[in-house]
Formats: sequence, C-alpha cells, structure tokens
Amino acid sequence: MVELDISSPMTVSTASGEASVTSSGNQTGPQPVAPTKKKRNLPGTPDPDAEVIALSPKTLMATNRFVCEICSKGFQRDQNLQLHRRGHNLPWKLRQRTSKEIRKRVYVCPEPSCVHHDPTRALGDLTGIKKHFCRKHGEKKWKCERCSKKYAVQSDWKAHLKTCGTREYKCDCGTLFSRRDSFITHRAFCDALAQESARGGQVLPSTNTEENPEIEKAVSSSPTAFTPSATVLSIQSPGAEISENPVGVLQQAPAIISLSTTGTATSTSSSSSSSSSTSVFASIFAPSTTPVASQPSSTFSDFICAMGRSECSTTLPLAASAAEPTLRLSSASLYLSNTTSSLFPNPDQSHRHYAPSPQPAMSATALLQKAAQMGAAASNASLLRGLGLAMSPPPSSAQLDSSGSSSSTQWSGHVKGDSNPVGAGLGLGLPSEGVGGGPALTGLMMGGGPSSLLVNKPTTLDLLGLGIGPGGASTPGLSALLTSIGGGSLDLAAAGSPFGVGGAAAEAAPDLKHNGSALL
Amino acid sequence: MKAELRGNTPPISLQNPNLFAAPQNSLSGALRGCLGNLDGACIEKLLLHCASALESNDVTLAQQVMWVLNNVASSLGDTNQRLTSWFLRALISRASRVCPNTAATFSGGGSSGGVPRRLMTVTELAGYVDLIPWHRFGFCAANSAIFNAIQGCPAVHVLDFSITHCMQWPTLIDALAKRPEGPPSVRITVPGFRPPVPPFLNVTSEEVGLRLANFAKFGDVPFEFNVIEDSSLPTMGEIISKESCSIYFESLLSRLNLSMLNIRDDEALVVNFQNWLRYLPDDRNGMARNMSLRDAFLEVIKGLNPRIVVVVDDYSDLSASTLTSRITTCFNYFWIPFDALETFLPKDNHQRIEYESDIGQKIEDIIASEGLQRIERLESGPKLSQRMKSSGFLSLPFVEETVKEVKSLLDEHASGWGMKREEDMLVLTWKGHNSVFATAWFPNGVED
Repeated sequence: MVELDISSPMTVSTASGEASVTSSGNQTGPQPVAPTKKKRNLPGTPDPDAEVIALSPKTLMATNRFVCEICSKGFQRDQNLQLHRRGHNLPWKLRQRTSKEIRKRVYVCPEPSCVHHDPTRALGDLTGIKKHFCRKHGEKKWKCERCSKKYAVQSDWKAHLKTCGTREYKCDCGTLFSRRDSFITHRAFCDALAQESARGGQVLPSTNTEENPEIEKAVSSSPTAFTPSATVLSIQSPGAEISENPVGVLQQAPAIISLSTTGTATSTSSSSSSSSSTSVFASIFAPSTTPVASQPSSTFSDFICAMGRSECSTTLPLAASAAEPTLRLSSASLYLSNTTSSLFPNPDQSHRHYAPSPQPAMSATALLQKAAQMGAAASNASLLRGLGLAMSPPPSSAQLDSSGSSSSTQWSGHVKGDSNPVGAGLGLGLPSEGVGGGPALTGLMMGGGPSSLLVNKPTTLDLLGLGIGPGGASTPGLSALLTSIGGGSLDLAAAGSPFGVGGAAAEAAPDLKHNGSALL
Repeated sequence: MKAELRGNTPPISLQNPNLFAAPQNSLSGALRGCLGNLDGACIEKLLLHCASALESNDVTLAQQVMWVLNNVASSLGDTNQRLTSWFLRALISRASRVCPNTAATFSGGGSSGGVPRRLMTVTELAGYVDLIPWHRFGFCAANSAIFNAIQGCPAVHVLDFSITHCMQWPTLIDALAKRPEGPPSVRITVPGFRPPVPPFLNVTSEEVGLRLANFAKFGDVPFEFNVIEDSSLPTMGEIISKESCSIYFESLLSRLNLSMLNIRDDEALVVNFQNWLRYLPDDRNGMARNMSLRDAFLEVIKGLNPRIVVVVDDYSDLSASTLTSRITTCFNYFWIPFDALETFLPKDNHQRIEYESDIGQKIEDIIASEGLQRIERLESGPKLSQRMKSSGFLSLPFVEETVKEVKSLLDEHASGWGMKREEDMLVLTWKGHNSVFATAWFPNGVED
C-alpha cells in the first residue's frame, strides 16, 4: 500500500500520485517517504504530533488513492484496502501498519492561495480536505433547479435538494425561516406574539407550517387562562418577602390588556416588585413602537444621534426609567449605526486608504523595511505625524483610521476630542485628521494628563506604561529586526526615544548605523 | 531582495524561546519566512513578536511590529486580516494600560476597550444566536439531555446561568409542550447578575421572562419566571466593571440556597451552565479549603441536588498565564468562527461584523487584561470534566437520540460543521477543529 506523505511547514511540496506509487513500490511496508514532520499545534487539538500531509490536486481528486502494493489494485478507502490485503495471506510482519495507525494526520490544501494551505489551518480528515478542495477550487457542476444554487460536490447538492423549498416556517411578523429551531426561538420573542396576547385572541401559526395542534388548542382557551399560566416574580434580596403571592402579582395581570402604550412608567422605585412589574408589563407592548422614550432618554437619544454618524437605530435600555440621566458618557457609547465606529477599520470607504482592496498595499518586504525606517522619523514632530508622511498620503489612511472625532469618544468614552501628540508614541501611522496625531488614540492612551506623561518619559512611566529607562532595551530587538530586513537607509537618531521627542538616546544609533551600512 | 543575516545579531530574550528553532536567528529567521506572503502563520508570529516586545519593554520593536500588523489588518478583509485587526487593537489596548487609576476613567471603569456596547432587541438576539450553529449546538444538546432527564416529572425548575438571555428555552418549552404525557410546569430562574460581555440586550431579564411566559402560554405550558434579585447590583443603565464581577458572583453564590430559590419538593431541578463557568475566578490562593470561587459555586450547586447539570462552553483553553501562549491559542481558536462566517456571509454584512466585534471584545479581554480584569478564564472541555468530577459529579452520557438530533441540526447548516464524541462530551467541529463542547452531569449522591 502506498500513500503519499510529504509534509513541511511553510513550503509544502507536492508530488504526483503516480510517482509515489512507482517509487515506493518496492518498499516492504507502508513507510512514509522521509518527511520533515512539522509539529504544529492545531486549534483546539493540542496534538503536537499531528502529521501534516500535503497532497497534490491530482491525488486529492483521485478516486483510488489506496493502492495495494502486491497487485496494484486501487481502492477508495483505506479500510477497503486493508480488507483486500488480508486476502493476499501476507506474512505477519508485512501485515502490520506500524506507527501509521497512531499518528493523527491532518491535511492541507494544495492551492497556495487558499487559507487551508497553511498547516495551522489544516483540516482533520481526508474526506474533508477533498470536499473542501472540490468545493472551493473545483468546478461547480451540480445545480439546484429551484433556487439555482450551484455545488461542486454531489453530496452537498443532494443535501440541499432535501431541504430546498420543502419546509418553510413563517412567523406572523412575516419573516421566513428554513429551520424550525430558529423559527421557534424567533417566534417566542417576536413582537407579533406579544401583540397576539394583547388582543387575547387567535394565535394561528402561519400557513404551510407543521405547527402543532397544541398551539391551536391554546387559542380557544379563554383569556382567563392567562392568569394561572403566566406569572413573573422577582425574588427579593433577603429581608424582603421571598416571593410574591402569585395572586398578588396576578392582580396585575388582567390589567395588561387594558394598559395602553402610554410610554414607560417612569417609576424610579424598583424596590417594590409590583410597580416595576407594571412598568415592565406596560413596556412589552411598546416594543414595536418607539423604543422606550421616557423623558430622560429622549434627549439622551438625541445626544447619541448627534454623536454617532448616520442612521441612528438607537435602542435604549428599557429600564432607562430607573436610571437617571446621570448615565455616564461611557454608557452612552452605544453601537448605533451599522458601521463600526471603532478605532480601526472603517467600512466607510472614503476614509480608507486601501478602499478598493483590503489587501495590504505593500509587500511584506516593503512593510518590514518601512517599519525599520519608522525609527528615523522626525524628532520633534510627533512620531505619529512623521509616520503619516512616510507611510502614505495623509488624511485618509490605513486601517487605524479613526473616523471622525466622534469615534474617539466611543473608543474611550470620555475623550477630549482634540489631538495631541500622545498618540505619537505608538507611531502607528494614524492619519493626521486635520489636526496632527490621531485623536482616537489619544483618548485611548491617556486617561488624564496626557502632556505630563509625555513630557517626562524615560524615568517615569512611558507611554506604554513600561517604565523604560533611557536608551532602554530597544537596541537588540531593533538591530535584529533590521538585519533581517536587510537594510535600507537607517537613520535611527530617534530610535532610542519611544516618543520621538527630540534628544533621545543616541547611543543606540551608532551601532545600528553600523549594522545598517554593513547590510547594504 | 532576500533578507540575509549579517553581522552579529544579539539574541532576543523572549517569553517563549522554544518558539523558534535556534535562538540565534530568532527574530530574523521567523520574519524571513514572512517575506513571502503574510499568511496566518506569519501573522501569528508577528503578534507573538509584538507581545514579547511589549513584555520585555522593547517599545520600538513593538511599534514596528504593530506598524506592520496595521498594514495587514483590515476589518473588511479576509479572515486573517479581520482577526489581525482585532488582535492589534487588543495589543494596543494592552500597551496603553498606563496605570490602574486611569482605567477607572475609561468606559465603565473596566477595560471594555472602548468598543461601544451594542444593545440588541430580543428578535435581533434570536437571529444572532442562529447565525452559525455555535450556540444552537449547545442549546440542542443541552435541551435534549434535559428533556430526557426530566421524563415523567410533573414539574421542572431550570436554573439558567448563561450569557444568551434565555434564547435556549423556546425550543425546550416547545418540546415539552408536545410531550405525550402532557407538559410539566416549568419554572426558569435567572441570576440578576450577568457578566458584562456581549451579546447585550436592550431590555431587562424580566421582560425576556415575560415574553417566554407569553410563549409558554400558547403552548399551554404552566410557566413561571424568576430573577434572583440583588440589591447591590447597579441598575440597568450602569455598566458593571470587570473587576467587580467576582464580588457579584460571590453575592450570587450566597443566594443559591433552597429557600431563596424557593425550590419546591416536587420539582426536578435542572442547572444550565452555558458559557458561564468561565467567568468565575479560579484562583485558589488564600481561599478557604483551597477552593476557588468556581469550585465553591459547583459545590453549592451540587448541594441543591439537581437532577441534571449541563455545561456548555467553547472548546479552548484561555487561562494560560503567559501572554504569548494565550495569543497563539486565541489566534488559532477564534479563527474558527471567523472562518465559518466567512464562508457564507459577505465581507460587509453587518451581522457578521457585529458577531466578529463581539469576539473581538473577548480577544481584547484575553490579550489586554490581566488579573481580575481578565474575566475570560475559559478552560477546555477535558479540564472542565475533570473539575466536575472532582466536585462530586458523575458524567451523564448523551443518548443516541440526542446525538441524532444534533447531527440533523448540523446537517441543516453549512457543510463544514460536524460533531464528534470525546468520552462523554459532544464536541462541535468546524472543518475538523474543535469549537464547542457540551457535557451533562448529575451529583454522585455522596454527601461531603
């Protein structure tokens, strides 16, 4: 039996199936072809002995990978081959498969651009990698007639046919589901159901579902059945009564139906359960209307809208009634619109320097070179700005874009939006958003007193809180990095100072310069 | 231009020198491999370099690596790029922890890293948990095990410790409603305290309970919903800081007794831990009887004599003490959900971005925080099993019916999702990689 076993970390070599058959045809046992096994830790599978196997596309797609070394008969599965080999009456020794059995195998995709080409992203079983290769890189020959979805693997296509259009669940609110569990979950919480109960009327699950008759039975139960089956209790902390007398709470219940959507009860006292229950009861019928807009909140939401950018799908905490407008700005950091207003990436294309393609615009080599040059940024200008100039055309910049000053608020919740060179320390090429330095990062960096921290570095805490002494430990790492990059002009005058504030330790520079020139 | 090593390269002292073949060409050698293309392995190396640079106070190197990473990172790129952007953010957040006091001025007095808290509606959350079968797997396995365990019981009381705001229960209620012998009466109790991690809801637990009650009513299932109040908890608008989590956990623990929970004699008690135990501190130093809070919690639960305890969580070990090993584990683990989302959602899909953002917050916590602030203290399935056994629980295997149910659930999802059994655990796999584990237990009946 012959299998192709070649594995290595970065350079995955492939060999054709045929070659392996002939070359190892005269081996006595199923010996692997001297692979350099790379022990990789796989996600979730802490198996350092997993053997990484790379097969050629041809081998992957071959249907008869397992070949008997005695008669050269091919089989689709290893088990079948083993069964067959037994028939040859092999001597005991040759029958053993030895170490092969024990070692776990993982497979990488032969397609170099594929994410599964990376051994740490290998797939656990052969069928899996075959299917993956077929699906991702193969031709999609199978097509569903109903929805014209295309599949490369026949079994996928068959599986799809089973479910396509055969079952559909429709909620009263109009949403369609193809799976029952998601339908049930949605329905339990859907406003449509809440409204149904408000009307105390029919709850007919929508058409063409296999919704069960029990639900329909419930329909005919009178509204008085409401009370015994639905109670909501709050267990008070010790000292108060343990639980409300169900009757006591239930007296609230009939009131539900008559409660209109009169906005939230702004009952701030949450100590008595009944009053809070009432407010909660009232509010469940308001969900589809305005999100709880009690007095304090309305101005609040305006404020948030002003803070955020475009659309404002604000959903405010329901019990905002209990919380006064003393909500800190921090808790006002709601995620408003669809666009992530995070520090980094900004889906708003206009802000992104690399808008057209998310790929790094520079090759890895260039990146590392540039990184080395970072240390050479101008001295008194913020390192940040220096980067901005060196790296890319300013305003719109890379992924560390902070889209507008509002986002800086969201980053740290209380930032003064104006810039200051604090963000320089990290030298991350934040755009000069009109003003020097990245406003967002500034907020991030310093909770308070940024300038003081900036001014007085090496001896006290530095920007990164690392307490670096003057001249620090930057030398070894930097030089090693640089030597690996292979040079480039290395003016590292400012290298010693993490802040790029002038007058840094220049002791690092001479060594590095020396190295640098040697490399060139 | 190929990079060549010339001159003397002083070796770098790194956290994990074993990471590289030879100390001499540690940094350069590793980076050399990156010059071809920046793939996952390379990015991981860069992240590790950055981390070790930070740990060894090599600011300049850290800056440079971050700069490179910054160019790789993209929130709308491929899986690796997106992951990188969250990791970079976490590293920067870590780097900027100047001193503990300033943390208080950050949002919520905790290191949520300033990512805005996104509040969802219940319906949005219902969609969220079903985006990928990550949660649904656990729900299905747990509910099936629970259903089987309470067969014949007229009353069941569920103690629900989870972060998904009761999204698990509609399907159980639905299944119970259709029980041949008629539904039991169902009570669900949730703690008033929930760790400050996404997904966040824009309504209170009480309202969630109301909706469930409504739903149960239509299934003719007698239903009650309770919230374990804690007057020391902040009101809804305020954000719980991560450091104070352990205090609230302790407070909750003190309320877990028969009388306070109003556990009745005739009801079968079910305890559900879904992505919960990981947040309980596991520090044994200086604790009574050498038991961490997590151990104590389990002990109390055992004392309640539940009929079944289900534990579901992510299959990964995030509790390592060194930053570099955490980075490696995280990077390779969180790649899994990112990849799953990538296979069927477009790059700019907002649900995908939100889901990834929530994972990003986890990453931030794991990478950027230390000590009490790092609340993601996940341990892997096997370790958890060990702990349950030491706490006096016996494993309750999943029956074939459950396995079939879970399998057919996964069949309805994208191919790539699979399931396997590991001892008595059910494990969700994505392309063969372990993602989520589900286990069931019952007390061994031995009184301590």
